[in-house]
Amino acid sequence: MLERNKLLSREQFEDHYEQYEEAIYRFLYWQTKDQALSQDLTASTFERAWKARESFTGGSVKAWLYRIARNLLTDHWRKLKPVLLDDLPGLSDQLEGPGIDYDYDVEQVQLALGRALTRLPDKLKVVTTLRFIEGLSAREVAEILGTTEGNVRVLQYRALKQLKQLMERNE
Amino acid sequence: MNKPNLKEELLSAGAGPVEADELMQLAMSVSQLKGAEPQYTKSHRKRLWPAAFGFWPMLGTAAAGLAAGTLVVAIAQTSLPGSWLYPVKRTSERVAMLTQPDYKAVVMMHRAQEVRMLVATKQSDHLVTAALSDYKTDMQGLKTKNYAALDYCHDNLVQAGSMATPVEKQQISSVLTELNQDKD
Repeated sequence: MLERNKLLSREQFEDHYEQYEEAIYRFLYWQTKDQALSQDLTASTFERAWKARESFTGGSVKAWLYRIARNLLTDHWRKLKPVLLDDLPGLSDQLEGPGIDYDYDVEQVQLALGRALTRLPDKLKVVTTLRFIEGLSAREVAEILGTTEGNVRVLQYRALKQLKQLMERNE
Repeated sequence: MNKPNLKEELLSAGAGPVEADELMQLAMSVSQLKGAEPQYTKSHRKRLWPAAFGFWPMLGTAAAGLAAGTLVVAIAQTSLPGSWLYPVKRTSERVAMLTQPDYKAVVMMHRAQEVRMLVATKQSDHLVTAALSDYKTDMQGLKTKNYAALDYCHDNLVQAGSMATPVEKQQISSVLTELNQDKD
């Protein structure tokens, strides 16, 4: 209830904006790998949150904002789905360029890891970003995804396993 | 990221102990991706808010303020000397007289009506005296051929005189004399 009241005040909402804008942007960036799009979606996230602040029913503001960001992202993907490069067999692999050595150096590993992350299925990518890049707890991620903590644990296990496989395939 | 918790979580999700260790290392590497993304540009931030907080809410606030102001001025038109709204009425009259010189006749009618209402509601002599004084001040230099307005003032003051205290009656009589001179 306290969180709800905070959101109803513009000043407090701006505080939340200042506090979470970069985290939301980061989350969106790792889902899209597109800086401009992530920034636009970040703006849209806070616009939608502001307009929908009356519907916020309490709980974690952070989780609520991530949920809005994820919904916007889903809407975005849905609109773009027919022209996604990943839907064209073989083309996305050609565009990926040559494989990168897993143990080459830290920078190269990070590049490879970032690339592998973007190739994860959407839900696993969301869980990986929120859990390991944003450092959210399994409970917070469960709240964002509208699922159980147990399911988040299973999803993060699958995500890490697939990430490992993608990295090994680059060896 | 809490390492022991993550290991427990991975084990509970079905990972073997060795696999859990490997995946934890991978998770640590993933966590180092934080900050590898392009920086969030400040110039972009500045245009985040106008759509949500900017033009329309501000316009709404301005419109609400204007509506509230108009309402106060409208309500103030029925106020009498002594009311907190009376200065609003006087100010709005002054503004109206600046833009429409003919409005002075309407102001004169207001004063006469106020005198009658103050006397009728048995307000203090002080307020009646002040209203009559305002009447005289407002009418200085007035040259009107609006005989209907002058008659209206005359009638109101005569009615006021019929209900007034002796002191008020004397003051009203003096104003009536001046009014009759204006009519002539």
